[in-house]
Amino acid sequence: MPAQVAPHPPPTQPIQRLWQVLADGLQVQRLHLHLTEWRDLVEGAAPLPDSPDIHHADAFAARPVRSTSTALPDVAGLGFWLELPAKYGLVAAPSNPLTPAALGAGHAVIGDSSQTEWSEAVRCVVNAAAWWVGFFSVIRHRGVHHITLDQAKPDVSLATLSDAVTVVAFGTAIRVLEAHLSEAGESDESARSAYCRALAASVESERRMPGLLDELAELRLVDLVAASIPWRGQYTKYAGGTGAGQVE
Amino acid sequence: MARHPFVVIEGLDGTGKTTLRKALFRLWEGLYGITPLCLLTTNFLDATVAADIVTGKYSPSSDNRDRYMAAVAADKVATLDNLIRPALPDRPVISDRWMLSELAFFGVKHDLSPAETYQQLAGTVTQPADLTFVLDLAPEESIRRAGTRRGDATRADWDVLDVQARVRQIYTEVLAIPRAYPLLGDIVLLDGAANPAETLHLAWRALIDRGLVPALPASKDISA
Repeated sequence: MPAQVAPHPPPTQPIQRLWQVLADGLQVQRLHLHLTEWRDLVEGAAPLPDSPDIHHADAFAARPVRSTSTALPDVAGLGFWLELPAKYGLVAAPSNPLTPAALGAGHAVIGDSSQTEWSEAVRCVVNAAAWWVGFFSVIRHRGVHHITLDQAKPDVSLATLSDAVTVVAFGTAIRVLEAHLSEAGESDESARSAYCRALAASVESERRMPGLLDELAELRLVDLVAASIPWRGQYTKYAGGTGAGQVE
Repeated sequence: MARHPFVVIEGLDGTGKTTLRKALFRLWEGLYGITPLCLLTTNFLDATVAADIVTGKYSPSSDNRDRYMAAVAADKVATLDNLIRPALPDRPVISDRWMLSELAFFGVKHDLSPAETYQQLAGTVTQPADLTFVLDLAPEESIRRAGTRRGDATRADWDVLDVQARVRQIYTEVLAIPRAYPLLGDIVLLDGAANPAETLHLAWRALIDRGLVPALPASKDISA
């Protein structure tokens, strides 16, 4: 009897989802490992030695202004993504110069669907993307080059960091929309359209990724950005069995 | 036994086949948790005909036409036996070109009608695709897009206007009588000039309508 086309979901957790959990855990670990260092820099408004466009560390430290009552970020595994910036971000800090890039990515995904639960969740997670990239940008000069693991790294520009935020924001938007569609089903036309926009953006972003990671150059920023969005290198860190034990 | 679909993406160079393939890959992997297998129209799985494929594709002549046809068929059989059929119980297969492109190649380079080429290939290749997406685009725009690529991605004897116009004409002839080409499966025409997100959305909808993606929890009532 010939096989019938009747697609079924995978019987177990896809390995990519487990690698995403590991990648998320790595970000949480690194934030807490370097929190004191970050606080010292931002509370002292210290200059950033390798980011010539940014004069003081507190430029990236502002607590994201958006919060949400929807559970979608939690369902997407992004609860920590909102909670930690809300907990550690500074109330009295300048507006984050990376936020426009984050909101631009969110707007590109949301389109006209601005009054939905998922669009509110998307706005929140992309807003937080600016804080996360900013966090690791502040402590970047203390990190190591992502390939050589040496201390020497090129300076990083605000434009490069904005590109990084855009990529990370698209990645978080994809996760929120997958969480929504997985729960609500495919009948939500506007969410399907938004998900397609986000996936198309991820395909477009792939061309930029190798150059972007080279410009970021520093291990923690590179890991944050590389694992954030679907592309051919998203889980390279884990696919080769080398996801643990690197310089943190 | 249940299985996943075998999906083919066809279209002139520069129409967005790669973009759609990557987007569908991300859709299946991200939303449905299933990693597709992506492959090409020839995959060089039968080493005994690999040289004939290279010669027949890049130096086509009346002398090597039949060997090339046999080699293409043998490679497709090997691809079906070693990749596609083993994969389908666990994952979808997305092929960047498959049968339609072969019909176009033999039409342009050897003046064989699509029906003649199809008849020869169908004598060996017996498993149909479940769905063939055809990205349609004016050859002038296709050439312009393909011309922006770097390296040796374009060929002087193929990526030129008269050849691409002829390829599109063959596509049109085939799409006019799809029942004559059952190995292509269902055929869905997509506008290659549309933006990639819209194209992906239409392709996804086509997959949903045909039951080719797994059901999500609340997906039984698909509103337009």
